[in-house]
Amino acid sequence: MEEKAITYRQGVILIILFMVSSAVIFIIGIKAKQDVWLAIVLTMLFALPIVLMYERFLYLFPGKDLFDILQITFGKGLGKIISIMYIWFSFHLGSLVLRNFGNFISVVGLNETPEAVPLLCIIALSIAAVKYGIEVIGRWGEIAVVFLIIPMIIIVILLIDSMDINNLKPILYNGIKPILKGTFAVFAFPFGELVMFSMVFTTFKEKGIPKVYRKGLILSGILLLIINLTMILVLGVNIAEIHYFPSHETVRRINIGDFIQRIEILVSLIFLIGGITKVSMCLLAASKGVAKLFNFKDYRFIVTPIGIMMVNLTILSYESVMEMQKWTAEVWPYYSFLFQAILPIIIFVGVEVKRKMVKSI
Amino acid sequence: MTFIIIFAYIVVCYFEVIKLFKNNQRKEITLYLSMMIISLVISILLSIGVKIPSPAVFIQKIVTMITE
Repeated sequence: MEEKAITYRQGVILIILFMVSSAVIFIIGIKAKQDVWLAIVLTMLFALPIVLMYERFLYLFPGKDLFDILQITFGKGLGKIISIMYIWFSFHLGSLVLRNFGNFISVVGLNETPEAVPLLCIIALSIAAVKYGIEVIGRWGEIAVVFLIIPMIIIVILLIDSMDINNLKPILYNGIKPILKGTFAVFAFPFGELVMFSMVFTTFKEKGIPKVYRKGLILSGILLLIINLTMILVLGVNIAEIHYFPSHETVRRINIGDFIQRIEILVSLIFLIGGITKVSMCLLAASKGVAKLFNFKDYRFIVTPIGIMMVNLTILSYESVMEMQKWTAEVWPYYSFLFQAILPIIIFVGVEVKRKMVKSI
Repeated sequence: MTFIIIFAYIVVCYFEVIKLFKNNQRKEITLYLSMMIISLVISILLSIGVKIPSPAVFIQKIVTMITE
């Protein structure tokens, strides 16, 4: 397969866009109540070893993605079975992100529009982006990240006035258990989803040890920490819990001299920029996987059917916003833990054992 | 509504298959068309209003079976 390379900078930016995207409209790890910030910091610590494993894959197999590694390590049969599981995971994750889009747009903005309309617009854009390849998405990201960071800074600065430090107190009121629950939820969404990049990133322009993941993890973790802390400080836990999209509610409160107000469109902008990246990454991973599964050289021809299937899955999987929220809170963490932690560890052990064996021979 | 969906699928397929056909990629065309037909069937069923069993419910059952 003819691979195009991206730079380390673009890799880090893609990770930031991916992580911030759909996590920005929710308070991640709301189970930890007012100690959400502790949960996020803990998750960054727990996610670091797993992320270092992906970096090791990049270092050991330059130019190969996860599907290649699976076939090299576990052979054709078992490797293809695990490949199918990862294809399903990336496909499903893409459809969940699309679903978030649909819900957000129909709840916040266009109430009467059929759900398929915004979804089709977004998936068309993503299909086009994926067909152009990772290099173009990377270069686009370098420009887009500016439009993500600047609105975020503006929002946080304008909200300083309505923050209340008492919303964070009392710290550790319910003990450590809710924080661990929150950590588990934050790991499932969005930190663990970085596994998607092990299927996407293959080659970089620079030589040397790639440190893309750890930089991306730390930078996006800090951004998420700032956003979530702002939301909790402004709204307080009790109000934040009852809203589906608390960040929209938070930004709505900005009112400076009856002049700067109603700028909640900025949240939609941030979500849109990040979300398109996330959908594109999932689509790219799924199509690469399918192409590798059937031994095709190029993945581009299969992008459109997979994208349209993703929209179909999005529309049929849930009936309402409530159902989706309940599902993502109760089922998603356990379900995704298999793909985000257990399988990567198994693959890592397999790779290291295989390397030892080959060397001894 | 159903006719619009079928028409849209045909238009998309036409533009993409022609490119593959010129390069004489038989296997690709087979995979492409089979996936397109599956998603066309799902789309038509959705547009008529048939309830298709959601994979989310299935996953939920497995997860509750394991965690309990």
